[in-house]
Amino acid sequence: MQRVLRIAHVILWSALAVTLVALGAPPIRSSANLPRSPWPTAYYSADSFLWFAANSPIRAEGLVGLFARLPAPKEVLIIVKKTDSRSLLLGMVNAYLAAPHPVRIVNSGAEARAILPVSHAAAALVFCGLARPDEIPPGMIFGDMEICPPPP
Amino acid sequence: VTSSIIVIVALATVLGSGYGTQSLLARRTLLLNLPEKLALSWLFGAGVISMLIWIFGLIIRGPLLPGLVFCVALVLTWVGWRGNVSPAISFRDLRLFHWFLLVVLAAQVVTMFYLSSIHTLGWDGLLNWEIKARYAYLNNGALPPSYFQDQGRSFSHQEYPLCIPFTQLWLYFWLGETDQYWAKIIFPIFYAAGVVLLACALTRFTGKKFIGFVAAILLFFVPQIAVGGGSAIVGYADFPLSVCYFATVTFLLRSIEEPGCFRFYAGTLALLPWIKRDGVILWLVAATCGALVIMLTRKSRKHFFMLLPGLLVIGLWHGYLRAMHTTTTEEFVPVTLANIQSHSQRLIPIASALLAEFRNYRAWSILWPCVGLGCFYLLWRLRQLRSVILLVAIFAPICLYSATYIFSNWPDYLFHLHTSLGRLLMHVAPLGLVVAGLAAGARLPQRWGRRSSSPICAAPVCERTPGVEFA
Repeated sequence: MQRVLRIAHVILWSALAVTLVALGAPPIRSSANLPRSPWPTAYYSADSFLWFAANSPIRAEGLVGLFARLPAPKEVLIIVKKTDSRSLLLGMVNAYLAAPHPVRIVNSGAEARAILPVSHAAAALVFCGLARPDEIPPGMIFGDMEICPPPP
Repeated sequence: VTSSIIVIVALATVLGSGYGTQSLLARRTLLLNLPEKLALSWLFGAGVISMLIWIFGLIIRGPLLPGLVFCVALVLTWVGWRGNVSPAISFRDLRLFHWFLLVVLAAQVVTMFYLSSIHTLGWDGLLNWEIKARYAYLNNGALPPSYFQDQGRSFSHQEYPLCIPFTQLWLYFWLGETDQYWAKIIFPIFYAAGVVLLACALTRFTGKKFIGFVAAILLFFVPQIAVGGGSAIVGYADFPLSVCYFATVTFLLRSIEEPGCFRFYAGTLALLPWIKRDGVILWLVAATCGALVIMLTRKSRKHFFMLLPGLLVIGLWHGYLRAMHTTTTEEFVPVTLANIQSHSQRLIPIASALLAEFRNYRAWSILWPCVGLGCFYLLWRLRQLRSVILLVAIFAPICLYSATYIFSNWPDYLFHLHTSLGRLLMHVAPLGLVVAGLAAGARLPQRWGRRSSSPICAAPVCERTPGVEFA
């Protein structure tokens, strides 16, 4: 009896192990099929996020240079649509890249309408996945994103 | 190529300082395998280096900061070199089958490095963790105080601790620039450390090497851990935290018979709140288990003092956050009687969501049914203190994590749960494999995993495993 139980025990745990491998392997295999970048850049994750969120191959390094040229202590206003995860991600990546500037992420709609008339003190306005209002001067367009100077 | 060499040297300093730390903890009272020593060296090294950068960064900045940290790392490496006079354990009595399993395990670790290199950092990997490393690097080694008060960057959770970002910062110091590609290399190393610790722990507990090796191999086939959101390859802190928690609990279990292990338990326990904020919950559970072990095994009351370093880390970090007037995200409402009453109707949906997560085979394969079966077996056949501690260490965090969603401040608390519960379960998943491994190994005949002079089980006392005792 003990011998039968032991054999059953071995069969049970072997079957469980095989099932675990059989169910777990396909997601891992599909994950390994991603194309490998020949030599990733120092900003390769941010580049990838920007491409995904802005639908355009934007180089994060270029944005870092752009933000660095803005007047230092001034705030960067980032306008996003918080219900849209792409727009929100784009806003966060811009906030990440805009250091050392302080940033403010503002939701589109009433929140943005309240702040735009007094946004002349900002270093720049970044519209993420949103159209720029007419009262804001045009800026540089990067896919679904536009970086504008503050209104005069 | 130059960057690769620099990164290897930087990683070696992390390992060296961790090696010294674990030698100081061991005090020659405990024999560990070389792979086990290296795995622990990585855990302690990441903790020590990040903490040194944080503490020294409060006083000094610029090139002096990495210089000073490097000097301490060198001293610790020297201590480790001098302290480990016990000979390295040979692998000569491994059988062909064991070698085959080891080759598979090594191939999996290499695959994890490959997968890590082709995936980018995940959302939290970039916007919670790497962001801190980058900002600290741009500010000469310390996070600028303005960052902690920056409402606009509250998405990056300024209150999260610095073990992971400051280990990345250490690489940036060596590289001389920020680099999101190299920052990610620390995560497959945590994976390697995790599988080594898992294999060694199960081998000690069951007395069967192949059970340990097979469990470590199976960890790779749990998609949530290998490739899922928050997995070991996308730069999240959850897997490093799970490795540290695993080490804490397994050293506590070993300390029941090997008193020297209690120091390692205390060391890894102190790291838990330093890796991630959720580590405080794990610290609470592991410290409670530690207190139980001290009382039930009649250890000296002095052992209670060993629980204090973790408390000190929690206190220091929270004091620092308060001094910096840190912005906090209001993800949870306060735990008050009124909130408990008004949110109590969430209990059943949360419980069913938890059960659904256990049945999510795409994320977990059949890990949780195996753990369930193992728990049943442990309660039925191996009723002893170690089984109780192990089960508490697995189920208490799951209950506490689930309970936190009762107080979620998100408009849709179930969405909050679905975005994070899988990652939280990762913290106890390696321990779940220990339960399954113990159950699987308990009925096997001893000739399958003969007691030996043991290349894996260095300490003779480790032969008295629950399985062996039961047999």
